Amino acid sequence: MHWVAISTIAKKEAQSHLQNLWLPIAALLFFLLSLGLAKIGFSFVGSDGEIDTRATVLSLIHLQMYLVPLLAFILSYGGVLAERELGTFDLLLAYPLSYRDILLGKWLGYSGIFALALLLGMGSASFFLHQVGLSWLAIGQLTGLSLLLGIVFNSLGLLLSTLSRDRTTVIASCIVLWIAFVFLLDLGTIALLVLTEGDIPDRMIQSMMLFNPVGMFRIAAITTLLPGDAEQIFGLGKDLLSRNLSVLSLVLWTAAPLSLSLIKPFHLRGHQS
Amino acid sequence: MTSPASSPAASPAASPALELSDIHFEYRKNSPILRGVTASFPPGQITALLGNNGSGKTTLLKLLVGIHPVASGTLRLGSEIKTGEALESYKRSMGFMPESLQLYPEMKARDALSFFAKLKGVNDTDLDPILERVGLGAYKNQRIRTFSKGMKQRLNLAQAILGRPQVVVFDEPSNGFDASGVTIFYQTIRELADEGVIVILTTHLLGEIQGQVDRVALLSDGVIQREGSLESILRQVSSSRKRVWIQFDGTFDLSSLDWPPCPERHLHPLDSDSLTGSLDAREIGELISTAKASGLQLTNLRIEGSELADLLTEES
Repeated sequence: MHWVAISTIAKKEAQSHLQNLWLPIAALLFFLLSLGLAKIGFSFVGSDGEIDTRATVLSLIHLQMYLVPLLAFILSYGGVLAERELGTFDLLLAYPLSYRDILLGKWLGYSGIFALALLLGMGSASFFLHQVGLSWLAIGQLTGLSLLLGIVFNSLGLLLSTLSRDRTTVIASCIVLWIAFVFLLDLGTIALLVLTEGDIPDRMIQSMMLFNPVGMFRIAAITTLLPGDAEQIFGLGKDLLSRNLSVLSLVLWTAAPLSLSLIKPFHLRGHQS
Repeated sequence: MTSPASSPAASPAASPALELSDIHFEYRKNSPILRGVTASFPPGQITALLGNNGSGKTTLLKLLVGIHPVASGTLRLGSEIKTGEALESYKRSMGFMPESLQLYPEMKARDALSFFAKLKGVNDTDLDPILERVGLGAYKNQRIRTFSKGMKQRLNLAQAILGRPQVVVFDEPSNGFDASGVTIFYQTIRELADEGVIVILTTHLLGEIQGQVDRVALLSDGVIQREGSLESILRQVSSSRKRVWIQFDGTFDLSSLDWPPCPERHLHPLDSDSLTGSLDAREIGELISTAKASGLQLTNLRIEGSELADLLTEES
């Protein structure tokens, strides 16, 4: 590992996204949509006249589930692809650094810029979210878990970017994965439960959920922010809703695609004749 | 350890040659691209690597610059370069300009150069003189996307010569240069060669290289078939006659050729400095040698319907 090279590449990636529209658009989306949900949150008043924060928290979690993977994909899908298109990828490989240094530097840069967008957007909206009853800790926890989800999708985007030389294929793959993780895998689990009338082992449901980082984020967020309501929201037993397991799963979802992307692609390896 | 930025390139006499010995390479099993390349690139000389499409030129360049590992055979610059510290040190002493390179458009010229300098461990203070050298001193704070194609290519050149490299490799460098850019390019690489740098380039602009390069290495079927000066290689090849247009940098006297009359050649002057005719490779080589003996350099050579690499690999 060449940490100077890794940090130089990370800095360059972060700086280039500071200069383009991704950062302000992402921060603005996080801010405006969270603000909108905070405003709606004022209308959720319980019988005691107090604002019911549960609906706001759930809406915020779902907002992050849709928005974070999409923004992270947009940030990272061009990581290697754009360098190849410019001809700079071969050039970087001719410098005294390795393929892994380049990929790690990019991943760190994307994660840093994603964190900045989240902090700017959620940070600006936090005052309003606090006003509808969310504690500062809850806002911080949601931001932290959203960052973890963003990093997962940065890893996935970077992996897809290394797998194809064709921009259309990479974009299509990102869209398919986004739809699958956000909608299809959940619907598939529900369909299976309906078809079997719920007659499937709990561990099987848990295993199926582990295949979806977005689902894991939802479990982690709900068990963290609404621990008392988690069983009712999911309709599942407490032992299937482990916060630690879901956070660990998100960490593994970050590490696995990143590790795969660090494997030097076939066309750069060559063989001994 | 002395930093590459501060250590001047060694003199030709003191520097080792870049030596390749029996290099094999393949992307897929049983599909060899390079089948035992053996060649030597001496310091202080500009070598043009010629070859047809698919001859393995780009693959060989990628091995030379450390993008591909040398899995079979040896690459030496003084000592053997394989992996680890030796490879890193070699990469630090090497400059590369890939074909169709476009440095990051949203960056300013100096920032882009500074990014590559950091990766190589070159001091930031060296950047301004390099930008001046390639004629971009006045544009250093301009974004690259605003540059013309020629200016971008000059910046690519600046990137390649960062840190006073011992070896510089250019893949089809003339593509994209404007007229003054080509002049700056060849002037710069000649200066580098004079400082003892090993300069290697691939090109298909034949007339252009003849006046500029010292040696030619012909890659064909995954091996270096011939090495030497262009005219000496041409004289070794027996090819069919081709229609050629040749231009020199001064008046060429056809009568100075000691050739028996041969109507098939249809050799006649077009202008005081250019001529046309139907010649085979050996005759083109002799013509260039004769011109050289009279102090003339070839400035343009065009062959009807083929590239020089085609002619050099043709054995009729």
